[in-house]
Amino acid sequence: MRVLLVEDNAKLASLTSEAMRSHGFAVDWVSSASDAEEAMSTISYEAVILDLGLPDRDGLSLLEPVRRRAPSTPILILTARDAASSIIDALDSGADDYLVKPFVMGVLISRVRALMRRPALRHDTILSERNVHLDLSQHVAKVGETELQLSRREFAALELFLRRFNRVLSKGEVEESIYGFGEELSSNAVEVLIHRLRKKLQAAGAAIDIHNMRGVGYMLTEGRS
Amino acid sequence: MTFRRLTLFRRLVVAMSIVALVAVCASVLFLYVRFQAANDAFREETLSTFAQDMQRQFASDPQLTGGLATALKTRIKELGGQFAIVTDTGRVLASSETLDQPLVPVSNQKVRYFLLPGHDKVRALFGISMQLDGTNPVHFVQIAFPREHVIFDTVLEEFVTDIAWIWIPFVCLLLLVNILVLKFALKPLSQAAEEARQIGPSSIATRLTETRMPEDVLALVSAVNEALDRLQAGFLSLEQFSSHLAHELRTPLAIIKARLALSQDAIARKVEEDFEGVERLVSQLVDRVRIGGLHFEASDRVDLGDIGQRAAAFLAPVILSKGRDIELQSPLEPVVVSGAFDFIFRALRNLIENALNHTPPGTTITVTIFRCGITVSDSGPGYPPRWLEPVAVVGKPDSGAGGLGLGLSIVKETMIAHGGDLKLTNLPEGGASATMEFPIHRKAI
Repeated sequence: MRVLLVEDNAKLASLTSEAMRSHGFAVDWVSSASDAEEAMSTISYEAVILDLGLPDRDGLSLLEPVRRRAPSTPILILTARDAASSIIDALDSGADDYLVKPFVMGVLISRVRALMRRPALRHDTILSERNVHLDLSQHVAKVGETELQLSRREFAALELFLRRFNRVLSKGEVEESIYGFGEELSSNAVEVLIHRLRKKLQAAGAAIDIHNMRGVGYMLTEGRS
Repeated sequence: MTFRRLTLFRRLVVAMSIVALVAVCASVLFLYVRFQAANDAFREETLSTFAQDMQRQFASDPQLTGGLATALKTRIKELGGQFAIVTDTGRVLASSETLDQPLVPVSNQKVRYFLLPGHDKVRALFGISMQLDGTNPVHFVQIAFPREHVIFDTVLEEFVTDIAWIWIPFVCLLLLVNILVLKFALKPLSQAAEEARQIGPSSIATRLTETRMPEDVLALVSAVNEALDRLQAGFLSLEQFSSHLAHELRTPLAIIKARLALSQDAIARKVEEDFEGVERLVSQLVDRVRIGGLHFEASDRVDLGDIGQRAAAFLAPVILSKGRDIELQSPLEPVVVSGAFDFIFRALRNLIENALNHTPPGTTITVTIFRCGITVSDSGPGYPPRWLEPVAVVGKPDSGAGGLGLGLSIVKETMIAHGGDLKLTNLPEGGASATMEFPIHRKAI
């Protein structure tokens, strides 16, 4: 998993690289936009972590050439700018995700992993988080070695949550992803579906859990001990 | 309202009204005095003419029984007058039927005018006492007519009813025309005042219109616009400064966090926990500086439900990782207010973080969106009583005796900049409740 880190602060870059390497990533670090362009012209990266405040020009200006050259490479913006307008600008310019400094290293790593799980990029078809594994090609879900008996929708919901680990999904987002257009839905269809899925995960001893926050949405997190 | 507080237009209207009133009063007084003088002169002349006629008749007909004398006496009677021919000793030689004594005591003056004051039903009389020529001993003719001589009254009355009354409406009309002209002339000023009234934190780019402004007022308007330019530049530089500040502070913080994350030492985990407080404090300080540059346009509309959902989703991972829960209660329809999205989001984030720091593990933080605001409630120990007073001091540090603490002061100032307020209460069942109240939505500008 080769990742390009574009960050002008040497200390932060070296610490981030070290942390990512310890999680199995191969990290190339460059400190300017021009170096980043050069690196991307020769190597095909699986993800790019991009700082916006670069010494030669704004990191946002890199987004368009990167998108042209490698439309499917996920880009995560890592910056000190936390205004909603900056986030919107970055996402509209082609970034896939956004993380504000100072960040939790674990969150950065799980976000990069999540980006690399996106369907368009994903060549292998197994999604894993802790002891839960989902084989998309075989349509098999396992907790450890135990196979879970999931309905088609439960399987789809688990896949959705695994792709968005530690991120809140609103009820609307779950509905849109799981159910087709024009499908008749009862008002509590999503609640019932998630409830069943949770029970099955818990019964099988999964180390992850889907948490329901009323009015906010659902989030797949580590299971509570 | 004092005169000083009146608008320029009202001042001029008041001043012009006073001038018009004075003009009307002065002209009426002038006309009255002039008419009185003319009246007196005319009256004296008439009396003198009557006295000379009487002298001529008396010289040719001392008994005054002839045709001409009788006609003269009848004429005097018709006009309500009285006459007497008197010797120098005061004996009456001839007189009106009702008169048996001189109208006034005789004197040495050849011609003397006199006024007999009226009493009860007797009218005041204005008269002449004239020495007759060629009489020895000296005789006097005395004639008097009621003061309000019918001829003069008629003339005066006709003048007032036919001509003079036009003066008052004419002055009023003139005043009205002047006011309309003034209103038209001051219209650009009123427009500039209205434009200036609309300028606030939400519209720092607005300027007063300079087109169609009179030359002499244009200088003032231009100076105000230049002052607004400087203020806007100050506003924006503060915004830029806070952005730099955020950047400068966040990178070293990120380095420290990354270094801690890499360390396997148990002490690093402890420092990581302590570091959360530092991180939050820095974030609040940056937010606090940013409020100085808070501005939004009236057309910037935000949905409080959307902000509530985003803030809850943003903080959900940290809330769950700390063993607390969060729920959002919002109406089905959007709750739209005018405001700055980022600032409202940060204010709400501060309230939720505050609740997270105080609510015990296993409890739920509730975010409620209602028609004109957002409430965040928790199950913690509640706010200190001094914070619940209506006028809580803003901006003093948490540890001090007074003040709302940095986080809540950010929320309070954000709300004040939005024309709303922050209301703190303690719930009867325990726990604290903070409400960001927005002003009831005014009609769109």
